[in-house]
Amino acid sequence: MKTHDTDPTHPPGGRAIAIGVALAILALAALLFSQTFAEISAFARASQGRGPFFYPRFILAAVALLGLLMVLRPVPTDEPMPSGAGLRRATGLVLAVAVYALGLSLAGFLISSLLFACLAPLFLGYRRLAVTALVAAVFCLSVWYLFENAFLIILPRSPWFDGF
Amino acid sequence: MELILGTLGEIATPLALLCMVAGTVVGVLVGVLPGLGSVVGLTMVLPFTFSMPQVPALALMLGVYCGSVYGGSITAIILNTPGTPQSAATAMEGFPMARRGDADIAIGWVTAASTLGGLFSVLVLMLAGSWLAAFSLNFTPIEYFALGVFALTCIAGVSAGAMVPGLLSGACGLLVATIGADPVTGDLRFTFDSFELSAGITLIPVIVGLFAYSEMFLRAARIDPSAAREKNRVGFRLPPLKEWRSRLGMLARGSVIGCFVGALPGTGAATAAFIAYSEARRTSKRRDNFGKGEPDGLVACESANNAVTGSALVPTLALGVPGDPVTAVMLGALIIQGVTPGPQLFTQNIELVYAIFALLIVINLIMFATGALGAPLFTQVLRIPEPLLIAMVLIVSTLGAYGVRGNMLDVWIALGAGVAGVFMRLAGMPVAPFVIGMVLSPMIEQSLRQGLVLTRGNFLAFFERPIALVLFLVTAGMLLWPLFRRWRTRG
Repeated sequence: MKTHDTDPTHPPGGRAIAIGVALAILALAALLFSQTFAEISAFARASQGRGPFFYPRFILAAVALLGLLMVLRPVPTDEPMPSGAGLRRATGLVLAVAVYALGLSLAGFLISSLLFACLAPLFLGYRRLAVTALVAAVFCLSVWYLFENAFLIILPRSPWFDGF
Repeated sequence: MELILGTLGEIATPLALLCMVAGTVVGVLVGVLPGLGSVVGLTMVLPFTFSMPQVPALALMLGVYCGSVYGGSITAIILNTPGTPQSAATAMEGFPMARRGDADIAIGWVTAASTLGGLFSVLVLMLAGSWLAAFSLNFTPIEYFALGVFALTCIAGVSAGAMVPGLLSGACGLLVATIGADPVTGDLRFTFDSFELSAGITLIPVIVGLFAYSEMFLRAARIDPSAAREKNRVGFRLPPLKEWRSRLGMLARGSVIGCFVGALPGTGAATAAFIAYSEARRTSKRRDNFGKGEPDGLVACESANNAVTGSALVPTLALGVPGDPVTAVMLGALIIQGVTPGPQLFTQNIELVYAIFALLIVINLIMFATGALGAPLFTQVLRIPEPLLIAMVLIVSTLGAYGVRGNMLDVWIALGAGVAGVFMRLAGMPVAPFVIGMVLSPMIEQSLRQGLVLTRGNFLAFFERPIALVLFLVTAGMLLWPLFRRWRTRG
């Protein structure tokens, strides 16, 4: 019989992540369950529909049961585990998106998107700077123009320039 | 007659036609790129629909949906790498044909079979959608609750091989949808005194995070910048008519299988394609050629996976119940457009329903033209360096999350969902059930509690209504069937 430890497609890291995810969900469920004892309105108390926390408690019970089952018997995953360098790249990209999201509020769509579209490929190992800059400029300007002028959706603006 | 002319007038506008063509082309491109798939494609175009009128917005979304199901087959044929899961069966016959130099005729077979399968499914949607909507007009909240519980069984369908993680993922989706104001009493739940959370967590940012962000983060983890990009070029050639005559039965069978499977919750185009392929392999006169590049297999699986596109919309439009993540995104897009899917759609907004039928017909024809004219060009998209592709998908996806409410909180929710999606996928938890749970939760809760008010708090009265009882029995049957089958196999 294959186990997580002997099967190369299901490395032990996957099992640890499965248990970690299940424990995190259980902790979150416990926190939310404690919230179900919050004060409710008089109307909710009088309702035949059993109040606002009636349904979430059912779901929380299911989450707790399934979470426990997953901790006890984590299922092997088909998703290949990334290497250490790969994980660092993915973590870096998550941080880059977080900075991009902050940049949207602070510098507006066009400036932050141009920077993100130039720097993210560079960070991911693509070194043809001229191609990256050209693609980033054409792509970001097209999206910005389409949204602002064709679809009339106002994108986040920069505080320094009028119009974008 | 007036209605038909009105419908034609709505879809024949320059904007609607442009959206159909653009949607189909983008859909095919998304399908060609391995790993992106229909949900990521729909998520990417969603922000472009926010300010559009209803019909062009639907044209864009339906174009992407149909185009992406078809596009995956091109990569399956030329690279033996299915662009989408639904094209996996296509690779089994398409790639051997490409290896012997018949890639262009293989593309011809799949383009024609996809178009005909798609058109057949529109016919089914027209007939079954109206009938189901008329039938469901008699539903009370009790029947809707039973229907919602039945639709939850699709979570089991999309969690094959990972039942507990899939159900846990679905339960988390059900739970997240309860954040915000209680739909019956208005009391706030799980908001931790945050004003922003009192409006709840909207579906689209979660979809963006779980599907688009997490896919891009995982791609970044596995990227190989030094890898050479594909440089294949293929043409398009339609098979001769006499070759078709002997395969019409295969085409009809594949289309029927696709329509049937597509209307069931939790199945989808990949399941339909594999069932049709194995059925073709079992019944074909040329079964000995299977695995060596037999067009029978291509016709069966491509007509089946494209026949899913129309029939999957039957429960979505008629009942407001999505069967898979693709139709869940479509449902979200419809709601953003101010359209409430369900039986009332067929009585109060029949013009829009007719427009959807007409759009699907035209889009399937555009898909044929796109395949015939663009096949050699679409393969060029495989040459886009992956780091550039990741950056572009992330920018458009971020706009998708932001644009729903023009709120930066949604971008942060999408990012949180993206990180959660990465961990879920690495832990073997499918992300599709989460979205399905989130879509179904409001309907299940509201109908359950309204039903309890109607029955004065007596839950047993739910089983006294015949339609609800049948739905509960079918649900129990669907959940218990795998256990029974396993018990029989062991016995």
